[in-house]
Amino acid sequence: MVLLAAAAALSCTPDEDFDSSLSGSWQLTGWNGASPSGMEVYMVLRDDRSFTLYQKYNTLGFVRYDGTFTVDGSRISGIYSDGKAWVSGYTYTVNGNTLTMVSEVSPDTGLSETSVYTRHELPETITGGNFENFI
Amino acid sequence: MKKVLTFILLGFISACTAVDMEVPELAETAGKGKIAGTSDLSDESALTVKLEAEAADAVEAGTLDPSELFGGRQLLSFERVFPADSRYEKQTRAAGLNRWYLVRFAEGEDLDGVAESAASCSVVTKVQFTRKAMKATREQPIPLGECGPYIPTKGMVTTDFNDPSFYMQWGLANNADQAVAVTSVAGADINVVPAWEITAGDPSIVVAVIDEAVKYTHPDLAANMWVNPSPNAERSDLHGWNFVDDAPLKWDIEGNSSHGTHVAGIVAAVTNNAIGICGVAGGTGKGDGVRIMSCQIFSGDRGGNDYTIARAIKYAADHGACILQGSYGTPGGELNNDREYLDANPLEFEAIQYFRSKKNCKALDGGAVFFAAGNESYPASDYPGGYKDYISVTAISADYLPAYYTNSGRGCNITAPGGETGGLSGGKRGGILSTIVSELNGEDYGFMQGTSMACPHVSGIAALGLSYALKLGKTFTLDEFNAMILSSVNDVDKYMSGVKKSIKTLELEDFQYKLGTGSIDAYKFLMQVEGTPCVTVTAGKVSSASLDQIFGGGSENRTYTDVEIDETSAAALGLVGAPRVVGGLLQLRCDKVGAGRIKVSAIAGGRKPGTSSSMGGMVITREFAVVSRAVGTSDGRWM
Repeated sequence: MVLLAAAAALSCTPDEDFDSSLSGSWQLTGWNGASPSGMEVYMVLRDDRSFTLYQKYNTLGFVRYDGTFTVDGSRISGIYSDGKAWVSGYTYTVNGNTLTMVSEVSPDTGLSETSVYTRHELPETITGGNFENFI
Repeated sequence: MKKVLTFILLGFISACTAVDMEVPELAETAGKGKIAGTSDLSDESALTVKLEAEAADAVEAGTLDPSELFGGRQLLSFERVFPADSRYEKQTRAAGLNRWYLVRFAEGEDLDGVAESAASCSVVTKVQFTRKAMKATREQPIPLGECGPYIPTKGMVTTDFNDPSFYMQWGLANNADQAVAVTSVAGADINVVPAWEITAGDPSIVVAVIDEAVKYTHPDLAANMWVNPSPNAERSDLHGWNFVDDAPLKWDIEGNSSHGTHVAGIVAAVTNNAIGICGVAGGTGKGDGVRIMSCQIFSGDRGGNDYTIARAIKYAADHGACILQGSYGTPGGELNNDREYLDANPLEFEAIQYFRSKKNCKALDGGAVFFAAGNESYPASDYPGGYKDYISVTAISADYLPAYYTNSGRGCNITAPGGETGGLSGGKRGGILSTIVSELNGEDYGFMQGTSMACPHVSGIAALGLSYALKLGKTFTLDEFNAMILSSVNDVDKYMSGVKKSIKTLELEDFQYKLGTGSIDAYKFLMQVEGTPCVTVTAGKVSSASLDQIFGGGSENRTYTDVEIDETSAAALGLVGAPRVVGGLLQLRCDKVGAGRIKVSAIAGGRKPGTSSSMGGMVITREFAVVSRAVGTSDGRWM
């Protein structure tokens, strides 16, 4: 089911209801009210609903992931190109150059996470090709 | 000030009742009694002495006759070990180095009697018999032309750089070329090629090569030689100085082995200049390599005296070097612990400490020092490398196994390619290729082996790291920098079983956990420089997290000594109970979603930290982020 959903997502074309305020390049600048110490994350969201995630978190260099995302009202969810779904769907809000994403409450922990992203160009490290493709 | 909670790993401590965990208070001229060393190690009729400050001033003022310090004996000369130079005198005096004197006597003088006479003077604080150190590698190089045609058996390793001999530098990039050894292992190298995508050097970084003279006219070194911005008008010390003869650098002395030139080429041979080899930090072909300062301490079979070395090291500090590259030492077993080293050679120790205190690079709050561990197959490091605060480098070969000659064990901190020029199937090509002196050896490039060659791989990577730190505007303390280097490693201990047959047969179990933390990785080091490493746990349960990102590959095998977290971080994480390291994994339970910082200390090199009475590893402390997440992914994806 997941793979079919991924194929369907890939064949989607941008529709008129697509929230274009999501599109762009975002840098993780806040996490649960604090600065994201030790976590460097850049997320590129595109009009065609593809995404690229660059993360340097638990790794010594940036790792790149690709996939597609779906928007349903104020909820965003995604699937990586290897078929794995994002670990959570997120309720999002865009306020100017700030994107806030709140995860679902985890059934295991009863907790959720709030990530704050700010519009930001990808850093030279990434545009220079210094990343590993995870998938 | 944040309150700090410290959790000592009691299980470890109680299991090691023999461990001496004291951190010794080392006085400026520490050592038992006043007399350092013994006369039997001295091959010249000379001593060095240290005076109380007032006495040194009185000597300079001419109000104290130095012969009075030696029972009225005639002195052939009495001169400061570190001659006065108005440019550096203030810092020299602040470090007390103006108080050291070199005294020469007539041949045949009873040095023991002289030493006792001087020691009986209250104003004499130290009397040191001169002693000699040796180059770690004392063989001649094998010129490239003697190695026959090279027939690579696998796809040659390449970079974007155009140095034609790069493919023979297995220490930089090892593709398991069978022409080097049938036992070659892909990846048994310093992983510098991806590091070069980030930086290949910075000309403001100066590496002092304390060694034979570097041939500064070598076509593959000239452009990366340090140029003295204010050379002494009388001495013309443009690229360094010959401290053996107090004269300009001279590399083509009979008895030399190209040792200094070879070491220098490993650090910073000019890269991407269409000739020869690549240096670890040799630049990109745009004049952006780090710079080599030649501080000559050997000249044929002369030199290596403690005062010669001390002078060279101080010169390096005073003239802007931020990395000391020392492939020399006292052979393994002659000095068995830090106390013996300080008792034998306080002069050299003070010079090294002076170098470490000098901030010559904006990115580092002192000078970083690296020494070869030694080639005597001895189960401990040579000194000075074995000293608890100095990094000592052992040697591996292209097979990812210990080189047959390498010292190992106590006092050794990290390993790097040192090669073997005999014993592996590829013969000479198993050595390390670098620049050599054509006047001595007939060619410009040749192979050598040794911890002498391993050490400059590490000092070259240190230079790369500082180059990157400058680019990022980051600064580190010396302790942080050393800890990062010793944590930027790949695990070699997993290979230490069975037998290796080379010039000698090695029982590999004898080397497990004895080569240091692991094999240095340049890319990992640059990543450490770039950002704060992070460990992730899932909130609400006890998590066990690998410390590989923090302490390098094989981190589960390190000996951990301390875990420290401040109250603010503990509160932000909702920490329950004490975090600890169990089986090499960080175990903790966080009941909140949040992030904090934690410090974990481990021993770099062996199971016990070095103390004054027992050689051991360096205690390194890494601070990193702990992130407690509500939503965990099994493979570390962010979302």
